[in-house]
Amino acid sequence: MNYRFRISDSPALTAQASRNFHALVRKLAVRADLILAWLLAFEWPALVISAVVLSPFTWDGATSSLNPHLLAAMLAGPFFIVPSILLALRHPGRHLTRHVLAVSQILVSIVLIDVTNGRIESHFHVFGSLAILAFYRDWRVLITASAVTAAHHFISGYWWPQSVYGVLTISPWRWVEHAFWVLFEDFFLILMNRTSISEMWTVATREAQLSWGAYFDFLTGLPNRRALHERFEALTNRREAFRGAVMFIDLDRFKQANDTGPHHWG
Amino acid sequence: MLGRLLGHPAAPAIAVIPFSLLTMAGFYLLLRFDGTPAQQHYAPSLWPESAGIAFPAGKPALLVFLHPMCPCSRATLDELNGVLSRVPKTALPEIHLLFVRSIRNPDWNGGDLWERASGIPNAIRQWDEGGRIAVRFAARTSGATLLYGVKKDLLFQGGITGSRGHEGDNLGAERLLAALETGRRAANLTQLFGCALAIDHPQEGSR
Repeated sequence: MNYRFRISDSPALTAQASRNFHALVRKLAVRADLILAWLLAFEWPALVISAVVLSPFTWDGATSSLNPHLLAAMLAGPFFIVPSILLALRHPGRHLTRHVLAVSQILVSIVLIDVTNGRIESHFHVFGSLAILAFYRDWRVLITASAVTAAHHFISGYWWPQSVYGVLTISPWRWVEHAFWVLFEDFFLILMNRTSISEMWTVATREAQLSWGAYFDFLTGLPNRRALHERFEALTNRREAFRGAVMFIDLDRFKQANDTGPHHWG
Repeated sequence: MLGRLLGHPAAPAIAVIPFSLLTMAGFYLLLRFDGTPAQQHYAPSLWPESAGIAFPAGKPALLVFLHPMCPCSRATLDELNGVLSRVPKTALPEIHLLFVRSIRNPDWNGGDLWERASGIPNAIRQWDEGGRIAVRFAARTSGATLLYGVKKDLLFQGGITGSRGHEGDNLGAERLLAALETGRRAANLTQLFGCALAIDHPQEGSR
């Protein structure tokens, strides 16, 4: 059943459905912000512990110094993880918040890949992150995250000496291949998101119809008995004295006339 | 005060700029660390008589010099394993994994890298005290890989990782594989990424 078509005749219903839909979207975004904030709060110590275990020091002969990978894991907190968490807590549901959280999540993937010395398995963190970011059901967030991933691959490819010195590499376009697989996942996540958004719109429309139908007559669009009762109750419960008049118009034997004449006249 | 400042509607948009710049600068430095190769020295083009290792009869010799504590060199061992798994058994060289240990760090016994090296089939693990052997082969950086053919001529030298401590396809590993398969000398030395070896007397044995 096409609810969007059915309610298009009623601007009030459409407006209510739209309000319901945006309330649902916001609730979802706030919840996703919170999930991302918790995830980042967990990932930061996990990054530091991984760096301490895997590559705590770098060596110059017999002397050691703090490995930049460990330094990166530690600085990830004040540089982007903590500000992102604060943003999620102080400004939940905003568009900027979800994009900042998306960028932070992908940066965590990049640091993790570095900390684990580029283990192929750690690249799966990127794909897991994209799946988590799909909680927002906002394709723009996935594009932001994917753009950061592609940019990192491209820039690191550029700065790595094979590219800088123009020496022939095995595959200078490897970053394109990686970006393709990210886009491959994006395609299906965005497809799922579109379905979810359509379902959310259906839910919002049904809610609007149910709440509207509880107080208005579907045929005439006029308020019904329940609406009248509630209006009265609201008026009489007000603190200030109710001043007004109730007019009641009645036609004798209206129902009898309505049931016979109009039916017959068609 | 701080709470009010953070809660201001314009705060996120303003804060994004400095934090983005800081983060970008941090990542640039990290990439620079990962992608800066070590200065390389040319190994003898023929197997030195005073190498400290006997040249294997009828087989090529593959030497990999490692700093026992270098975390980046795990990737070298993984790449080496990958290359050797693609070489026909008849073309396999005698593999020497030389762990360069400084006399100033006598506690460098075993460790993660030493254990990991045991996973490479038929590889000979040995300690190079003070870097005496490393000096003879002009190896200064962990991960330095040398391949000498059956005629004792140098076929390959350089690193076999694409950047510091990163696994994945790279020119060094491909050239080493080609040299092992064909027995021909690789085009150029490939870039080398890793920690500096702990050599006690660098001048000793140098050409």
